[in-house]
Amino acid sequence: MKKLLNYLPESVRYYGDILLLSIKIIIIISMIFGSVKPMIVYQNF
Amino acid sequence: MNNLSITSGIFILLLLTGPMLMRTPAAVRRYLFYIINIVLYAVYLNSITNIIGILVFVIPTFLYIKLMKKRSAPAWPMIIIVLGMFFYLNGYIFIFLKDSNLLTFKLLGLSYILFRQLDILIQMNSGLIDKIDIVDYLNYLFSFWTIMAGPIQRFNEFKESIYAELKPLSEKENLKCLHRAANGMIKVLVIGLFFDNIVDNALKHYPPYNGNPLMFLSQVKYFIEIFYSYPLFLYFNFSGYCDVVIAMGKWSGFTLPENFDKPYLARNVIEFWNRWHITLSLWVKDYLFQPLFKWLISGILSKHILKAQYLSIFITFFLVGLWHGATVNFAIFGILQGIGMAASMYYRDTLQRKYGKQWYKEYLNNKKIAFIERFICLHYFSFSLMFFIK
Amino acid sequence: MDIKEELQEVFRDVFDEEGIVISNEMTASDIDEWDSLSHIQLIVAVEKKFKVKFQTAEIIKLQNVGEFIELLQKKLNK
Repeated sequence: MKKLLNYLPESVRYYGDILLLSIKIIIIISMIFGSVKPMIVYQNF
Repeated sequence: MNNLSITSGIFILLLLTGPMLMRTPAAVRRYLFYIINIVLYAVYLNSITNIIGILVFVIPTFLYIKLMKKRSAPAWPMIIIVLGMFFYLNGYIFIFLKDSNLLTFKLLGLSYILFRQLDILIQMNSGLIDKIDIVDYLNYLFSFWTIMAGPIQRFNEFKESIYAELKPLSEKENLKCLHRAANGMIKVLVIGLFFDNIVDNALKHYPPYNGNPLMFLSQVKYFIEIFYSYPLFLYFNFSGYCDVVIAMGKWSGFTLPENFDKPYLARNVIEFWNRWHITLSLWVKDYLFQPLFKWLISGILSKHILKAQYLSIFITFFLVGLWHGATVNFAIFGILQGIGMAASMYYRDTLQRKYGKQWYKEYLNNKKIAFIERFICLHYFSFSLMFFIK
Repeated sequence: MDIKEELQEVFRDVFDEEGIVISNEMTASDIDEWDSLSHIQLIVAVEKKFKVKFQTAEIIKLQNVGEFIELLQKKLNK
């Protein structure tokens, strides 16, 4: 998979990376605003 | 109480503004962090009792290290006092004094603050910290990056981090850090939560056993769900959190030590603790295991080095268990880690002695054996975690 | 005998290998069995032989044999 990606032009890979990051951030924001309140277990120690 | 959680607005804001905070002149930066760290922690405490509690816990150590510097006093009296206060503040005392009217405290990150204080005292004792003022001291103890749950940084590492000459990261590295932080968040918020829900659901529906074989089957089903989900939940929860703070720290120019290295691929309990909560293992190795082992082999067990090994590692990891909290369950968890560590050592030593070192190398390279060992180690740890669940 | 030679003897004793020759740059990764266990055994053997005491933080800080010799020298001169 990684090897295949290397054949893509630099700029495509770069914008792909940004796009992927944006998707992750959207997931995170929607989780937080969906009032998911996780506790870090190790925070209690 | 929610202003210090990984999804709290204030914490995320601090992480995101990290690069700007770190790019202020060093002389300003320390005071800037000082204000942020103290305000953040004070707001979290939200009761006067807790504020007094934390001040009583951390201020004497600072006064004492001044004394150590001036009069070259030894560290051990203060170490005992700090441990004593920790024993009370963290609730260990209530194991012995049930239903007493003593004040109780709820202080975030107390066990981590303890380790940081001891690090300073022990390093100071050997003259390995040259000077320390109240700003550096409190910044280290309450550093917002790590106040919640580590990783456990040493004082000298911390000073290097906060006063580091910043090298600009390339765009590629920047992106890598942000990806890692985002992945960490997803580990906590999505994957961790998924397994957490399975565990929660199973605990809620866990049926009481009444002799009915169908009930027994349903118990088994829920037990298996918990047995395999809880370790995954704990891993994604804690390593995800670490990914977030380490990556956002790096992005800002603040170096933090790594805390995980694919722990569930470990072949034995020793290797496991070298890969799980690494900064905790290294801390107890330096400040608990090694001194204890040294004391044993220069004294009462000087003729029994192997016995001294097993005893020191057992005691060390029993205490690691108790460090997690003042309950019988954590004591059992600690005993299981201690037994696992000692048994792994005994197994390794015995194989090496019986069959020789060359043979042992081949043994380690055998893929089938590696698979079996990983399987056993994973199940042993999962079993011990059953005592870890609240 | 100078410190280095005496220290070498301790190394040979602890690691049970007659062929060990120590140098200043030598680190734990150069000797197979030099882990935290044998490290402490080494320290205790040196303490006994040279009648000195090492503190916890000093033991952790040692990076190579050169630093070890330096620290030992400092203790002996006191």
